[in-house]
Amino acid sequence: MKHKEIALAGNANSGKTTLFNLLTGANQRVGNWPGVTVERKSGYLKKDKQLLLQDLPGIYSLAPYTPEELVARKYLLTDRPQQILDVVDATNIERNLYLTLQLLETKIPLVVALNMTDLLKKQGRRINTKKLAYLLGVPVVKISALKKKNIDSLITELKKDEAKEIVYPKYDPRLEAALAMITEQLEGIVSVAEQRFYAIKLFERDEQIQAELQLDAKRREKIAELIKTAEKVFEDDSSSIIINARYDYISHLMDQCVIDEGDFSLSLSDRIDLVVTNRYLALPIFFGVMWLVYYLSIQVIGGAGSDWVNDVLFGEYIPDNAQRILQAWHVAPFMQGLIIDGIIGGVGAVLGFLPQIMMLFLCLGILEDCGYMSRIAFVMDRIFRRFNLSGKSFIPLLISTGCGVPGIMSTRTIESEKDRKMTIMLTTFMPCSAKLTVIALVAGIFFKGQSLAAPAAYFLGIIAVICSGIYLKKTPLFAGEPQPFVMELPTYHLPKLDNIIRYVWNKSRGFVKKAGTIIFASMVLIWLLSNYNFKLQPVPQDSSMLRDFGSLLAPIFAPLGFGDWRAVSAVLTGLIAKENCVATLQVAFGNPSSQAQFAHLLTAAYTPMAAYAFLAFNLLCAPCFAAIGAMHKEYGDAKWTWRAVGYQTFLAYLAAMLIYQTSLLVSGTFSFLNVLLVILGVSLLVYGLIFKKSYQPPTDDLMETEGSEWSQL
Amino acid sequence: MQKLSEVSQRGKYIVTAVSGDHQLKKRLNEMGMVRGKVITVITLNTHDSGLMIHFQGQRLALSEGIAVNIEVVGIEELAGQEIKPLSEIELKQSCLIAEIGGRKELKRRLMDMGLTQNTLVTLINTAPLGDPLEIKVRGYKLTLRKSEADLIKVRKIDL
Repeated sequence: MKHKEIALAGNANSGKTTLFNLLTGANQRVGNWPGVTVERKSGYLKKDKQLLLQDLPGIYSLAPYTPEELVARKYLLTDRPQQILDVVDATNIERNLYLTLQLLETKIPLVVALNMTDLLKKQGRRINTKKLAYLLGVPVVKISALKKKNIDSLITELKKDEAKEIVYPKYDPRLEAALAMITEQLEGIVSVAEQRFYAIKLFERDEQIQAELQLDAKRREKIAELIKTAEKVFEDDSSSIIINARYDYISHLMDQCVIDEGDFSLSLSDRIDLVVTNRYLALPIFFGVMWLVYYLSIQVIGGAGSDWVNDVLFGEYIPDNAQRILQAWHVAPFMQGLIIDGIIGGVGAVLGFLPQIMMLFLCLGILEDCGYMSRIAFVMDRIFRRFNLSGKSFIPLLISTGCGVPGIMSTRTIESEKDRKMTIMLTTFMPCSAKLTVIALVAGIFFKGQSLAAPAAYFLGIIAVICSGIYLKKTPLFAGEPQPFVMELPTYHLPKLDNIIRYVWNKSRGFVKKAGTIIFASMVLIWLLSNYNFKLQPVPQDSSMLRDFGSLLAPIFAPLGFGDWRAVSAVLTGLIAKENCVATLQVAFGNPSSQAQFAHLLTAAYTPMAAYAFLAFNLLCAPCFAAIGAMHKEYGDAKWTWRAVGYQTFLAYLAAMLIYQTSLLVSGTFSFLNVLLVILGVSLLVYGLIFKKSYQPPTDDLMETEGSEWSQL
Repeated sequence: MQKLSEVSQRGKYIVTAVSGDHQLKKRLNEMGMVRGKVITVITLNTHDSGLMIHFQGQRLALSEGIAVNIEVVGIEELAGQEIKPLSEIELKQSCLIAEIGGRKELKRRLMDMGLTQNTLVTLINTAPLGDPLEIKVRGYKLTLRKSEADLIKVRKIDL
């Protein structure tokens, strides 16, 4: 048997990803957030390795509107898979069939998987599958991907070799006449199979298709004339004609195949929404949920787990046993130092976060899987738009409080290019779980008993996001009118345990992998740098290579209050992974035997405000290499990545400097230079936020609306 | 509001209610004749002749007996109603889309989601700060910002 490529297409939230997982057994995440399938994934069928399933992003149309639609359309037109498996959400069939009709127009053999049929009964709806298959002229299989029902008959249908010729839907005769005449103009330019698709796209005046076909002037004129005539007949513009024709066709299909028993009744999902997205209750509920997520993951369960890992597992058990074994084997003392202090100490410090991270992603996974995440976007949009971000930006920001890497990756769900780029740039300002170590260190040692020190770090991140949103929108990079926000709210469903377990597993595995590789390597490097000099002779800390590097850069950080080689080295190693900041400080201060001793050494070396400036700088500056890598991947462009990293580091420097210098002013011990620096920093901020004029694109009069938003702030 | 059998002018009408016994109601339902659908009357019911309508791309002949059970409102009648942006409609109010403005891509996107002329939409919810809005259209829920809802001009209709 020959190999066959099948494209998996369907609306966002049609259960496409669940079906993909079920058919291929691939380790992939399933969520309820619209557009969760953002990457192109493929896999061979579990039950038949000859069939390659190519997962397309969730789309509503083949119009060139979103990046997802562009990807899907390009793939279908240029790669032309042998078959399309179209997942149709039976509970939402009218809108789902809109895409099906467009897929039929490509003339690629199609199989419809009518998903979520188990939910139809609750909706009081019945669908006659046979009739639907007959009317569409393609096989229709009723399935439930969630309940794993009828999957085998779907596979049997996919395996059938002789696919029926596609009969594309015929619309209003007046429209068909116009399309037929456009098709004539395409004779010999596109293959017969593709003529229908191109004719419709030309009728819709799709600019991309026009550019792609490069028709000569005569044909172009003729087609333009045909469209004009049709528009006159229908008294509507050409794209409306097509859309109305498709929806009319669907209504017709529905009339024949769908029976609605009983009127629309409030489903459970609607009733939940009445409370959850209620005008007055939505925000309190939202903050309650977020508080619960953090309480559970950072404090109670996650916190207890982390304490155990830090104090018991990596505090006593592993180092003690390792020491015993190493001594028994008569390992050279320097190797013992490397393994116990460098590797076990460092990796342990990182792995201590695992329980917190697992708990956090467990909570986020549940929220995402049950459908609450998209309600968050709905509730938060108004607030975020004030800062020139979309409601969808909230999710990357939220995920970034766990880890910036998935946070950056989740920006793909934002439709607007500008909003996405800005969110990528700002999302790592949120304190991730790794930065939590720095927060915990500074708050725990320098601000003991001051309960506001740690939350203030979160506020700092949020303020950085808000101010940057306001500032960046004024630059030519992000100027322009606000982007539309059109989103579907998926029906709530009970989260699926295996989805969530897979989600948590993937996230934690990624984290452990990072701890096991990059951080392991960097630990060895730091250990080497801090225990040897340039001649590779073992030396005490204060004459090591790390010290030389740190001392070289220290003057730059003097205005921030920590122009000291140890803190600077911690900043440098923080680039590898933010967890390293703490570990490096620990190593640089000669591995104090107890936490109390470490605290003593630190408080002797830095003032509390210098420590807070150190915290602020690490919070906001360029993220770790893994996050920078993710940024580069998402931007797809080194220039943008540098821009983002540069902006972040500059802002971090400015913020840290202001914190430290202002604290000097307040405490009354300042020099002329301090005053100068504060004035410089404040005026930069004031200029950027208030006085800087928005960039005016040459022909854009929409900036006025932005001005008015300003006055409301 | 009037009975379809009593319509005295050709043109577009909206179905506002379907009555009659269970059997008939079900049949009309199956034909797609439900609240909020738009029909075009082609020939009038003169002298109890029954009437011909255009409905979702098909021509249908209806006997007077059936037409009596269908209540309609003329689009012409509605045309007298002021056109308002969707953003200014009260909660739970149904309305018909009169036109969609805005940039080409945005308009296209809204239309792709099923928001076309003479489609019934109902405002069902708003976010805490009154923005964005949640509407029901073609049997599913859609979220829109106020600024987009501003582009969608509608006429109120009481169903």
